[in-house]
Amino acid sequence: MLFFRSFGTYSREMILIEIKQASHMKAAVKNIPMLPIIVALILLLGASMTFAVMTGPVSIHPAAVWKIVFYHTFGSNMQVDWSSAEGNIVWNLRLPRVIMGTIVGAGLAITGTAIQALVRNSLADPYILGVSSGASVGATLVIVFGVFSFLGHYAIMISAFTGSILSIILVFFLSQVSGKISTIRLLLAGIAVSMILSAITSFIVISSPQEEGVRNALFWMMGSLSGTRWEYLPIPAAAVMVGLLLLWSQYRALNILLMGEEAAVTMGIPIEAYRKFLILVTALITGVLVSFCGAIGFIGLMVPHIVRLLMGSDHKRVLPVSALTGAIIMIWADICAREIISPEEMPIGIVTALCGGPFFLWLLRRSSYSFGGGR
Amino acid sequence: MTVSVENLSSVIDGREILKDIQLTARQGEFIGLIGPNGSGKSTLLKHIYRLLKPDTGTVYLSNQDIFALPSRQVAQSLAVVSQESPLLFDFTVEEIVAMGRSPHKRLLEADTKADHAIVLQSLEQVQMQAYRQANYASLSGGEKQRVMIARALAQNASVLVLDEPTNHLDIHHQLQIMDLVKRLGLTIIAALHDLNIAAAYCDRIYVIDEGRIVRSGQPVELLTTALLREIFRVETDIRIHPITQNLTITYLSPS
Repeated sequence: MLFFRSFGTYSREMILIEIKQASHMKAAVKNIPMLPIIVALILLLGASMTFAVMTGPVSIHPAAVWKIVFYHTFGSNMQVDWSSAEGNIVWNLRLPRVIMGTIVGAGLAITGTAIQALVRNSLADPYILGVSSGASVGATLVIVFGVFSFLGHYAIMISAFTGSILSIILVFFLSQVSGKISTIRLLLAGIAVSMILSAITSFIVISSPQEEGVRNALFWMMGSLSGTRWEYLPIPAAAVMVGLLLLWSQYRALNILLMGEEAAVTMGIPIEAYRKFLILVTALITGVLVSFCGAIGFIGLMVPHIVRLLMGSDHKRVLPVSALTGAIIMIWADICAREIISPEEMPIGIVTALCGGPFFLWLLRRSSYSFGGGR
Repeated sequence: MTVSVENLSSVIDGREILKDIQLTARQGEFIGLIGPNGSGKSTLLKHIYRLLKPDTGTVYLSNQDIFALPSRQVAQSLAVVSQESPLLFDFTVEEIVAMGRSPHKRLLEADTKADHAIVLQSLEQVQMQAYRQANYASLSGGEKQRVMIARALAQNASVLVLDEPTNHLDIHHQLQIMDLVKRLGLTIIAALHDLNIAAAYCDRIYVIDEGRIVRSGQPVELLTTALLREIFRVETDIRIHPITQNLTITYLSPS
């Protein structure tokens, strides 16, 4: 993948710089200017999105992809030199799905970053507080037993979102001791509630009267972007954009949070209110994303680490770069999910874990980055 | 800026950790806080920097009750350097010091040239400007504490609270840090472990034992063999050193 190759050259340059500086200076945190990185990632994102729309059972020329997109966004005084099937594939089938991938990838990456700062733990991911297991209970209830069927297409989403919000509320209250949230209790309450809800989900799935229900439930739980339509996009897009702006506006506080609770208090962060704010924002973003696409794993854990490895830990840089990186990786994961066993589709969670896992292990073995474990 | 602790008592888990504490630090004064392990030194400091709330009494910062002020406003005038704490994620020295500007920044306000200048100036004051781009985690203990002091300086605070700031440092770095802090001319309240260091640097010392301030005064009058026997349970020989003119405590045996 293009992204991985460019990453390789950067680290080689950085190693050279580090060797040069080693004689008079301690090892530098990577200090790459942010603007060129952002521009490069936006270009890469555009290219990846185009490629994702081109690829499929019917391959479509990139020029045609762009023309169709222009035609639909800027009006009809354009010469139509593509078939209506092509137009339909690009505009109605593939583009919404690719945009959803962008939104979900960006959203999971920024919530992962924020959650890791909130609990000061590099093992945390957006699902650690139980959002996804709550959503799974809601979704499997719909898939297996058809509850809320009067809600039509939106039944799974509404039920999953409700489940995720209920589970985060539960975790939130369990982690409070005399009105204060303790980080370690928050983590443990999240894990315990997740285990209980996963057990309930398993019970629901094995009670399924039909084989198909089991399969669909499993597929949902691994996450998928299939079946995305234009109507589905506004809510996740708004959640992720508002979330990114809210978190980015708090980059100083997020940095200070990594220094520990005591340091945060002495530098003027109202820590209790702030923790609640972060739990609320991350839970809402994650809840929305999970209810539309299932619990897509690994992106929220992996992307923040990749970005910190490249850019250092300053959230002013980490958040926007994570959003773009997460989007790009998600798009490529979705391309793989569609293509590997085509015409069948794989759940995207399998791809992110199968491709992301080994890559992450490689990072773990080779780099000087501490993964938030100190030295 | 003055700091005064008035009638402060604190109960934690049903135990009275601090009992009716009275303490004043005048403008520019270096106040030492000494006492045996578990006497309540750190707990008292945690109240002064607002991490813990007292059950009765309060802390005034130039006549303003700190528990009635927003935490951001307190952070603009009071900074803290505590014992070396592990930092788990990679930050550059400059990024860490820049965090000290946070209480002065409004939401969405970008770092200005002035902020940048303050950060550099703070690093120069602790002679760490050459390490600007270095990874904080790769520094030695003494260098880390100097960076933490620079961060406190970047906060532009006029009161500095130190919780055993030289705890893990070798003697050279202990003296270096103490000299550095003393030269700043800020109002300082420091919990100190080493009695010789306390005697050499403090203008006044408060002795805390079992949650009470038992004595206070200038080092020369305060630190006596009788006091150290009573509070620290140790036999000592105390003299004025001919070269430094400082009080020098030699420990003879535990009593």
